[in-house]
Amino acid sequence: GGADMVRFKNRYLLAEIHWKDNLNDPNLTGKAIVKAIRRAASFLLGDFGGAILNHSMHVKYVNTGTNFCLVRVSRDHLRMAWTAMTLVTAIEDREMLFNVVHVGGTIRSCRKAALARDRKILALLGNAEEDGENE
Amino acid sequence: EGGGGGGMASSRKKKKGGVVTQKGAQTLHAQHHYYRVRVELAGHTLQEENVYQLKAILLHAVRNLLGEVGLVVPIDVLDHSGITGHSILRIPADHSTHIWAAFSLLAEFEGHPCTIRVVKSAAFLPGLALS
Repeated sequence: GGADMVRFKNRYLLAEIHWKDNLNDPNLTGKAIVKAIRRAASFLLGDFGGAILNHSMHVKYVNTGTNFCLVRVSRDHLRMAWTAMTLVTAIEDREMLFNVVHVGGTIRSCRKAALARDRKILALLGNAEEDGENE
Repeated sequence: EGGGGGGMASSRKKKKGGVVTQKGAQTLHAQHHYYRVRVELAGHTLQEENVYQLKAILLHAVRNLLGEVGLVVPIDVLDHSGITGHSILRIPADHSTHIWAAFSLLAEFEGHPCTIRVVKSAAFLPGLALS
C-alpha cells in the first residue's frame, strides 16, 4: 500500500544577491553560494544544524545577470536555511547580502514571482522614460 | 497530589494549549528543568570558586552542537560544590533536551578530555533530592 510512500516536501527560496561593490560576476557558481550558506549555517547552528543543511540544502539555479538564485531546502528546515542565508555577508571574499523575495513549494511558483517582480521593475522604468521624453 | 490522576472514572479531558483540565484539576507543565550534573575535566579539579570555567565548559558544549543560536538558551548555574563536584543547573523546559544532548556530546575542552554527566534531572528543584 502507501505505507512506505514518503512525500518529500521542499521549499524553494528565491533570493536576490546585493553585492557591496555593485559589480557583476558572470562566473558566479551555485557551488560558491551554497558553500557560503553552509559556512554560515555551521557557525550559527552548530554541528547539528550545519549537518542538516549540508544534507538537505542545494542551490538549484543561479542567474548571474540578474543576481538571482534559487535555493532548495526540505520543508522542515526552511527557517534554519533562511536564518543562515540572512546572515551570510560574503561569497568568495566579496561582500554581499541576500534578500529573500519569495518562498514557494515549487520552482514554478518562484518563477512566477520572479517574473512578476521583473514586470514591476520594468513598469517603473517605463514611467521614468516617459517623463524624460516630455522635455 | 500530582495532577492528571489516571484512576478517575470520569475523565473528560480537554487539552487547551498544553494544560489538561479534568473537572477542576489542572496539570501545569514546568517552566524549567533542573539538572544535577558532574563536569569532569581530565587532569583538573574544578574548584568551587571557579564557577566561570564551569560555565565556559557548558557553553562550549552548547556552541559546538547548537551553534550561536543555541547559546540563546539561558543556562543558570544555581549551585556548585567543589567537594562533590556536582553542580545544579536550571534550563528552560522547552530546550532542555537539546541542551542535555549538547552536554552528552562534549568530548574535549581546550585540548583536555572533558565530559558532562547529567546525574539527575527533575521538573522541580526539590525533586533533585529524591532518590
